[in-house]
Amino acid sequence: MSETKIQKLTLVANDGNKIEVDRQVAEKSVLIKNMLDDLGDEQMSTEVPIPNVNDTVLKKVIEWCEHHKNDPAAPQDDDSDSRKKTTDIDEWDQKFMQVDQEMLFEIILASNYLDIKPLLDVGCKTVANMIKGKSPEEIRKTFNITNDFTPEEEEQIRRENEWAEDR
Amino acid sequence: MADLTSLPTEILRNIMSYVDKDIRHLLNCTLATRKLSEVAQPQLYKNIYLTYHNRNKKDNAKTAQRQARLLRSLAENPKLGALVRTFKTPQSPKYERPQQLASDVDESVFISAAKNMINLTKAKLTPSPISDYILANLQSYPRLTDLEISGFKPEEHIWALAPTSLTSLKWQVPFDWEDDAHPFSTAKFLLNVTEATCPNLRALDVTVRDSGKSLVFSKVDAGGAQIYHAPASPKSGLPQLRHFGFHYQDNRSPVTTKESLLSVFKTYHTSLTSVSVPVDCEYYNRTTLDYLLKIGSILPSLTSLALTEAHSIYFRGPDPNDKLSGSDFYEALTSGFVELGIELERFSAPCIGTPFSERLGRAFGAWKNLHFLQVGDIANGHAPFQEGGRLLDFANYAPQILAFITALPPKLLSLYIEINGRELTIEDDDDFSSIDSLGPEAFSTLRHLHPLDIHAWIYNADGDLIDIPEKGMFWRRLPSRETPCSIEGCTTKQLSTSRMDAIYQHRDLAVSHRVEVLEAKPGKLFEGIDAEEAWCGGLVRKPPAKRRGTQRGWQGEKGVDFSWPFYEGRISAYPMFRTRFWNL
Repeated sequence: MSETKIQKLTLVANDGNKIEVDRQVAEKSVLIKNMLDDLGDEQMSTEVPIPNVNDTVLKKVIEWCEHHKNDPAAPQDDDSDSRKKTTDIDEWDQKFMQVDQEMLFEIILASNYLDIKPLLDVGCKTVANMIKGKSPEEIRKTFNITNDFTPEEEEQIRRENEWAEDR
Repeated sequence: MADLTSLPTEILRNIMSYVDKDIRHLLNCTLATRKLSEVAQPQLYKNIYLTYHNRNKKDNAKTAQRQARLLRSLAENPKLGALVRTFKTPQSPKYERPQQLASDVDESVFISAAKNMINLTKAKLTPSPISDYILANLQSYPRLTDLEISGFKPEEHIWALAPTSLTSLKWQVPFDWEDDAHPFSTAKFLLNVTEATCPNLRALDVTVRDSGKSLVFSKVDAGGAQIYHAPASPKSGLPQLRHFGFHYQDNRSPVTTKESLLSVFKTYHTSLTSVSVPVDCEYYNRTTLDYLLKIGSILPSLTSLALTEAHSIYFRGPDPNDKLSGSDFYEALTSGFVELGIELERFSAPCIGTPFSERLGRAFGAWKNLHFLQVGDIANGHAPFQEGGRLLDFANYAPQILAFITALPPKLLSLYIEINGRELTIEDDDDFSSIDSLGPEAFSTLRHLHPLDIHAWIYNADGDLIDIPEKGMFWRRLPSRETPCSIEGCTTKQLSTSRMDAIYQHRDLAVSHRVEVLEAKPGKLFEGIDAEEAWCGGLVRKPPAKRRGTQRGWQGEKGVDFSWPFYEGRISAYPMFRTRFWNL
């Protein structure tokens, strides 16, 4: 029995395209890391299907994992409810996230599926920063969404939350 | 095609958790679309902190009006009340007229709002009708695990005899000079209460202190306090109690208080790992040393020890010659604990009875596992680094402070240093600059360190100590931002340095912030996690234009809205500023 540890993995996107990556890079995904840990190297195929992510998005996610492969593991979020979270984003990550909205949301969905929390957080912070400072109408315009409230519903929400209005 | 509203709810919640720094942004989300509203609304109501910043009548009126509107919303909409997880009522500053929470709101509104907050998990309550209700009906809040109370006497405001979900209880009892009861009696009462009603309690802190004027409320005694006065039955207890703290300011029967504390520690010796005890920290002696070593021998699993100042308590032994210098005391304490096999991870003391020095740092160095240290030095008014009995000589003290820091245990993660400068002041802000420059060497030596503070509690122009330090330095080690290293194999970090200078009146502060690159050479790389952000998020406040003589004329930040919920007093709310019984 070979005891050689797998060093390279081939990730297979949902459109069948294959991308070879270093194990260290692939293990930024907790999903893949757990798969490797659970199955063990001997039973693990070097080809890992990623059925929820297409080739373009997967390449982008791998690019992020490559860049951050040496980052220390993030500490457990023990008290996230009580503290204010910073929305500062690393300079490289800011440039990385300069993509069209569809790609941004695809990256967020892929990082959620692959369980790459630091990438998910960067994506969520990017969206949060796009929301900040915008009126309801500007939010709808930015994200191309329609107002689905009835006038009565809108009035009720305004009344309930009047305490939070800056006037 | 993916768009914002097609994201799963859990991801939208994560996005909202980053939006909630300013509730105006959340409010806008509630009105954008149904899907966003569904995730923004819970975030808007999740943490309700009813703060109060008494700056001017106009802003005070806006605060009162908005808080009244919120209470009415909570009272009229059970769904909104059920969204609240953390709730805090305002703490009145000690020497100001107590603020009546939403004084024009009918008491029934408070009660309905309290009744609707059924999913509370944490609450910090000061006297108000809403607090009264929650306290008297604690069992109606099955998820409430963390409770902090101040301004109520437990004997007058206590819940019924039935199990609660509390895991942590902090109670600050108003001090009453006319009360003949021994100060520990209120702690004993709360022990009886928690033994009978809090089977999951892990931490209990009782403080008896002068909290200034307080609002007077009717006594709410849902359970009949007398049922708790009887000793708890032998079968009851707090099997999970990890922490017990008792603090008070009184000079009655310090010896019996010590004995009472030892008795509590003996009762819970199998579970307690953390204690907080009052000591006469201006006068260290062998009696106090023996007392602490005895605590160590009772609690073999002790990992956290906090000594608290206790004004007018004299733990002085019968022998006037048993006084110890701070250095002798701490050398004996640290080595004594090591001999007992105690591996302290956290230690704090407001006054260690000696100036900071390399010798003192080496003493703490004996605690190899120490990762949190918060210590104040000697009362400097009569110590070596006072100059002419009026000024604190920071220039000559700074190298000693650095020598202290660099001799500390290498695994130290968090360090908070306090300079006790009552009676001393500073002539020019530049005199503090020698402290300003200590950061890089401290972080290069202690390679796990990520927050380092130095708080200077010196007199202001009026000869007073105020609620926050007159001067402060706040360093945070942050992750690198792609900065190339000058030497191959070295790594870099950012060092965020914030400096705070109070400007005459404590509400007016100047804060500067700068960032520099720290390089660690191969073999001496930085270790562990970094701080999440700069102190107070990198807050900057420009100082007023220099004036000749006194700066009394400066009126502070013009155009700032101090009304709730938009004003965030980040500096005054900084949790590492010690809440002081008295001014050391």
